[in-house]
Amino acid sequence: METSELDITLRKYIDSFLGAPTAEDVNELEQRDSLARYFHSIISSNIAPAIQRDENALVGEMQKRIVGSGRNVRSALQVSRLCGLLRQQNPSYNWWPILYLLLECSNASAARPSTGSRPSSYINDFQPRASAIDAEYTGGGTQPYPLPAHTGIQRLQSRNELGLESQMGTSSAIPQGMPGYMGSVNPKIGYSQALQPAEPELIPSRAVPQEEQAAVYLHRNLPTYDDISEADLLQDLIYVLQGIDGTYIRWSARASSYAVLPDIRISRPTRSMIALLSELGILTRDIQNYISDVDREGRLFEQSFCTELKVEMSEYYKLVSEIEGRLFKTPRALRPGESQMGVTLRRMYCWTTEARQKLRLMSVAITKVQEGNGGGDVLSIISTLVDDGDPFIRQFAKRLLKTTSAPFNNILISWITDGELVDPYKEFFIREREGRRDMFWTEKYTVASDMIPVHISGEMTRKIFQIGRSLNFLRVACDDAQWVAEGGPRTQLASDISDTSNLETFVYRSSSMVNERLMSVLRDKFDLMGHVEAIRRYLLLEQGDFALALMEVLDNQMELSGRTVMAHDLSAALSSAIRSSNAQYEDPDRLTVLALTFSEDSAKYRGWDEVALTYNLTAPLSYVIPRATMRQYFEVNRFLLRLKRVEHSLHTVWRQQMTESRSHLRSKELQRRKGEHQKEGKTEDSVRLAMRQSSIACSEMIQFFHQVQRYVALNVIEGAWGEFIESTRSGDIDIDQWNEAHSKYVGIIHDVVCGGSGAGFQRNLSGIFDTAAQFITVVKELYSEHALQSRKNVSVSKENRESLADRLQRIRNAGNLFNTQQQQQTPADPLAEHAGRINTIVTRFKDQVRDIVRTLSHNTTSDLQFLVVTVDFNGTYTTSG
Amino acid sequence: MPREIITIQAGQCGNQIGAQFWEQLCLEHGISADGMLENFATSGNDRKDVFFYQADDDHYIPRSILVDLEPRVINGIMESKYGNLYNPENIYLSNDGSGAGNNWASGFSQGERICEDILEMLDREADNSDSLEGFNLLHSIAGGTGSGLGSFLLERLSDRYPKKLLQTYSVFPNNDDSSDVVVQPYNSLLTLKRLAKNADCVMVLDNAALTRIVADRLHIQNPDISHTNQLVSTVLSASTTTLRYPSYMNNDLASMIAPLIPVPKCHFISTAYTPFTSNSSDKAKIVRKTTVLDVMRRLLQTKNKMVSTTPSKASCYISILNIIQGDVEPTEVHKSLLRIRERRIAQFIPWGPASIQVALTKKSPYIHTQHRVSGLMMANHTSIASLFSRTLLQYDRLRKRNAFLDLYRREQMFSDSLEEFDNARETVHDLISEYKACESESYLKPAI
Repeated sequence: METSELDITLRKYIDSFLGAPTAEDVNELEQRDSLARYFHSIISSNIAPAIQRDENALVGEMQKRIVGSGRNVRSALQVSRLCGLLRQQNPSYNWWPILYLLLECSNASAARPSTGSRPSSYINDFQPRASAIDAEYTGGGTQPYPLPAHTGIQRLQSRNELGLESQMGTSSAIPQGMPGYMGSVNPKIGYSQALQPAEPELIPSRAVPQEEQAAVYLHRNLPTYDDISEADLLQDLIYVLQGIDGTYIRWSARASSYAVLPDIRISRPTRSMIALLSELGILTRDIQNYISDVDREGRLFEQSFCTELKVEMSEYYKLVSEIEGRLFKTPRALRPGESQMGVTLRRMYCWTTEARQKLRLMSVAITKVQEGNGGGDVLSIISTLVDDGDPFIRQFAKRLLKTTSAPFNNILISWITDGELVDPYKEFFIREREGRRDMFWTEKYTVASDMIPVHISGEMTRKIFQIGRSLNFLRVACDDAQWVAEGGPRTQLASDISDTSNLETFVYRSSSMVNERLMSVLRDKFDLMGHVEAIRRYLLLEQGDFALALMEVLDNQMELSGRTVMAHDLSAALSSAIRSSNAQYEDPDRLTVLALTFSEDSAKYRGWDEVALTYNLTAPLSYVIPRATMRQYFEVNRFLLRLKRVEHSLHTVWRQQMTESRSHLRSKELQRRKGEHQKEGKTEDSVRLAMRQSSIACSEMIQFFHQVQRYVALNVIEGAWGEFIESTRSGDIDIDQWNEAHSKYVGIIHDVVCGGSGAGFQRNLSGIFDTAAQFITVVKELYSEHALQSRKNVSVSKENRESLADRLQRIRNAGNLFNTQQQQQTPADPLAEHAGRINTIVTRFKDQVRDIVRTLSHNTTSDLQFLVVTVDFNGTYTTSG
Repeated sequence: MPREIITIQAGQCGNQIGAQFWEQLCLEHGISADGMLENFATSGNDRKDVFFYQADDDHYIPRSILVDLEPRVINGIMESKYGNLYNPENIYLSNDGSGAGNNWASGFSQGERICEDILEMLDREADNSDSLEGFNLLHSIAGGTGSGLGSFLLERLSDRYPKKLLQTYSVFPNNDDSSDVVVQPYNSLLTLKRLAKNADCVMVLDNAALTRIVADRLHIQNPDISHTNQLVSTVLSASTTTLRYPSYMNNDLASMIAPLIPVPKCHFISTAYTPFTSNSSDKAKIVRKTTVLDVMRRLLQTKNKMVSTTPSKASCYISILNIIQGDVEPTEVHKSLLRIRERRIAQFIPWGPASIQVALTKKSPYIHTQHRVSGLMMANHTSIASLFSRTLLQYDRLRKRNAFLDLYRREQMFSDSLEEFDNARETVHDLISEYKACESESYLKPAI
């Protein structure tokens, strides 16, 4: 083709519309070539119009047009005034082509039958093409069937299209003699709207969607006639509409669409109609596939979703069969468009418009559901459609949601009325965990957050979860099934809970009802607070006389030690302590769960000093209070017992010192009365000094441990307890809130005692505990030694003395656990040696306390400073040394 | 193991105090005058078995031995409403009923005579206990029976129960005005020696201070013995609350007095109590706001102390234990301690750690007091020595004149010599020096 000036102009014109061509894209270039050729052919084929080259005549024509179109005269005058202005601007310029163009343009936009010189073929022929091209280049918005609408934009586009189609539907033709069809359609579905009788009119051709790419180019090669009759095509399409292959139109897996067999020539308009109609086939096929998939292995929610889909599909099939019935009545001989009565492709298209919209919606829903997580997510997806602005979509989605949420509601009802989770496919947003019987309350059920339907809010979720789990707990663990069945939320269930506001009211009402019941059952029937108080009394040693009795028993047992401690020893010790304290009046339920056990980390050495109390809560309370909390109690108890033991041993030492000193004075008094004046030896003096020192040291230790104990008891335990009682007093707290408060209470105590950040007493005091233990041993030795020696001074038979010496050796050996090096050498003067050792230990003790005072007073974050205040009340530890 | 405490009430004063004490305990534990548990008191978590035991018919019997050398007071008790409470086997009344004539020596030597009977009672009570903690002797030190017989019993108890704690509630005579008992300095001195040597803990109650409190605090114009006894029994019951209402701490006698007594010698404890109320005076009924801080501060004031001492500048507390009763926020205690420490209200020993220890106890649910909080302070204060010095002074004055010594020489103990007096004086003097030494920083340095 020679490159004429016209061609270049055309190319420029095309480029100005489409942008500069990219050299790489051969297809693109080819298309532009074909466009150019096409334009060329149009231009060259046209008979030159009779153009008026007279500006005035043109202006007159314009004015006539404006007046003729019913607008006011002023506008017409305005035109002539503007034209006058133009000419004034540049009188020499030839204005008529521009005016002519404007006039022609206004002619074209008026879309009226051409007047005068404009050839009708030009307009009619050109417009559809332009529209098709336009559509093609703006991103394929008018594809015959919707793409899976991932993004909002795409969705919007497909919506636009739906709207467009819907508009067309209302203005489309309806064949006469179709009232039967109208009657057969469920009015609810809305076909009547689509089939409103309207003025028969040519369907605006601009709606014809695009065909394959390079449509224009192909156009000239395409046949302008069809190989097969429209009737045959319609017959075939009836199949296709049902997702079945026809004779000529078959499913093409490659293109994922229905296509006419390649060897059959079909004219372009027909082909495009077929493409439009076969979209229904594609949708049907997809939906059918999905339905059969779900039927095979679908879960409850999907199945009920499909139920609704099936209902819709049967409506659609009904429509198809209507059309088919009409088709049989249509005379086969008629040429397309000749009959006003029969079925044509276009009519078929129009009648299926409404159905197409539904199928598309269903397909979109299916795609989303398939992509989603299933379960509650299905409901969420459909719920989003319910919020759609389009009343049609909203209506449809509502119906869909209602059916689909039926199994969800069933599960929900059984959950919130019986606490039973009937959810075989794990679609509900509450899941049951297997094999966590020991964590019945805390772990048995969980919320699957991705399964929560959007119409259930976070607070609602929590409440629903709480109701069901409380009911379940009541029924299974608390033996309260009767209430659940007869007095529970079931009795309140009156309204339809598929309505969100009804559900909300019901949930809120039952939530407080169930919670109240659960709390009262736990409190009254299972004595929740009673047990917690018992734990405080026994494990936190609030029951002082019990702790004291236990110390006594343990001390006695220690005396007899030397053999492995057996389990029955422990239980005997415990029951002895209970018997001899006010614990004997305790509720037996609480005593049976109290046990004395070894702490786990003392696997190597199982002595009496490694025991601690446990409180083995029974079901259902053991499900409520987590094991970790009970473990914390145990650890706190271990520390408290240790503290108590040191304190108790110190008291024993103190008592020994008191009575010893009394006896000493008494014996001196008796000697005085007898007139015996025994000169006290030097050793005696030094022993007295050592005793004095030890008693002062003992009192210092007692004071220290008392202060620690008092701090733990009053500030820590009682403080936390007070808060706990305060925070659980209100009637409407639920078991989780209760538990939280309880864990907090135990946690505070545990933190102070065992401390996460190294601030715990356990660590800080362990050195002091050891020192005190050594002190106790040494002082006991001192007193035994002294008793022995004073008895030696009095006349003692030889055998007796030996046995006493043996005993002394035994005591020494026991005491030398800490100082193994000294074990073998028998010191020359054991008393003096003891005095020396006491001195060392006392000094060490003072240093350790000073260290603690220093450490704790720097620890500004905790209120351990309070302890410093009392330990160092008169400033001994901070001023001296 | 209830850690039982056996109470011995000796002499007129001891028995009067004792009667009040048991009455108070019965009220607090909901025990009726004949020992039966009241219907409202069946569910208590209190420990009645420290001071009571149950007879076969479940009625509560005090672990108490009533001893007197003249029958007036004990008979009065037996005829009172509470007469049936006591075990009649535990009452010892001297056969002749002549009393000790305010003579320590007479009381002491009569003790020698009747001690078998009394020790038998004590042994029986001790056998009746699972884990006897100790003995409480209630007596006055000025008269004859309480001081003389009481002293004798202290010595014997010390021999017989060397491992048990011996605590006394000793009423000291009013040293300020001349009393009807002229020989009371002698009696006091001789008893003081036993208190120093044979007791582990002496709760000092000073009649002078008690009278003052009755007059000033209770606004009673003519105080008589029943009013002061009321005070003593209040102290008695308050000081035993931690034993009777167990809680975290101080649930036995040892744990209560151990932190108070760092050196065996210094075991004289003075007490203070607040707030005092009495139904017999309208002015005393005024209810004041009581907070822990208020109570703890008032306890440190001299006017609430039950001992009249004359503290010197160097006087200081060796230790303090406050027993706070009532509706107390546990954390309040520490705040109060902080305040007291900041203001340096109490002065402590310079040679070792000392502090105000606090025991919170439950209150009897059966007695309704108008005050939210009440407190008892038990303090080991060096100024107690001034009380002994006063006794010593009066003794010296009397002894210089050799006055009334005939009464004592009549008894065997003093028939040969009056060395016992001298020894007692030496012992008390020793005690005074020990307390004096406690005020010095060099107390811990080996002095011997």
